Amino acid sequence: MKKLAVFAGLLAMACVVPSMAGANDTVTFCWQMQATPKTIVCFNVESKDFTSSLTGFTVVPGESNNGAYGSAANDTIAGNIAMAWTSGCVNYTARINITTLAGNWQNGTGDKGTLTPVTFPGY
Amino acid sequence: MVRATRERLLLLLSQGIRTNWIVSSAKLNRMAKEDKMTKKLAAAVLAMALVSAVPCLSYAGGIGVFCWTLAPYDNILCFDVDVKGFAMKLTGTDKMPDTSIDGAYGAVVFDNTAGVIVMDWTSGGINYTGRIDPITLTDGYWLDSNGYEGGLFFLGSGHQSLKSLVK
Repeated sequence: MKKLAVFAGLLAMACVVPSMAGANDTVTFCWQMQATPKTIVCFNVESKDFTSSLTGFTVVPGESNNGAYGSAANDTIAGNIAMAWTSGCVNYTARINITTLAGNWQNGTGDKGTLTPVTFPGY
Repeated sequence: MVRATRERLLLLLSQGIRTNWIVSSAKLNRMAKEDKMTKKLAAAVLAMALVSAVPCLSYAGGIGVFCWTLAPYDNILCFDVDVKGFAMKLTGTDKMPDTSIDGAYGAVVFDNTAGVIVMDWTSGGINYTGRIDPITLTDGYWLDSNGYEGGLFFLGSGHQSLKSLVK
């Protein structure tokens, strides 16, 4: 719950107080990508002037993983967080609730599903 | 000078994984210029750093420039490598032979299951993924979103490796 607040806070700061966002605060967060039930995506989220940089990985626990990189922004018009990232040569986009951080994802190959915040052991 | 650098590196390695991050990019650059042995040591430092990046790190910062060639096309891929918690951020260039240079960006993590370093990046609108040996940083392969593939060969770290960008 504390992480949720920090993550949302970082994104909020990036929009409202750019100078504070420049401090490059970081937090780690993981989601389970349902519809591909076992896939976990974890990002180190670093606040930038008005967006956040995402650097992390996607993994099916016990199997090989891929690096993942992208960005997240607070969509003040839609009232949610827009995320875009690439992993394993595939592009992904997602929209998540700014409070719960749960939402939906889809990728460039036509797959889609839900994103659920999870605690991934070790991260 | 070379001996002193080597001893410093060995001391850093012996002090534990966290202290690997103390090695600055400037030091890596200087080491890469000295001789092949220090070049290998620099590679070993990065490898140790990547392996130790899981699960988390207390330090975030740049560890220098690292370059690879993408066989058989002879592209030269150079990244500034920045520690971002459990992963590293890649920001650099993809130089096509005799043509142009594209910006390149991505991420690198250590794959515990396969025991390899995994690099994922985008350049020129194409997504790539690569696997390299954690010790040599070479003997790897890459493939892209268009179905092309080939070998990844480590060119070195620091300014010495950047010389490969100059014709």
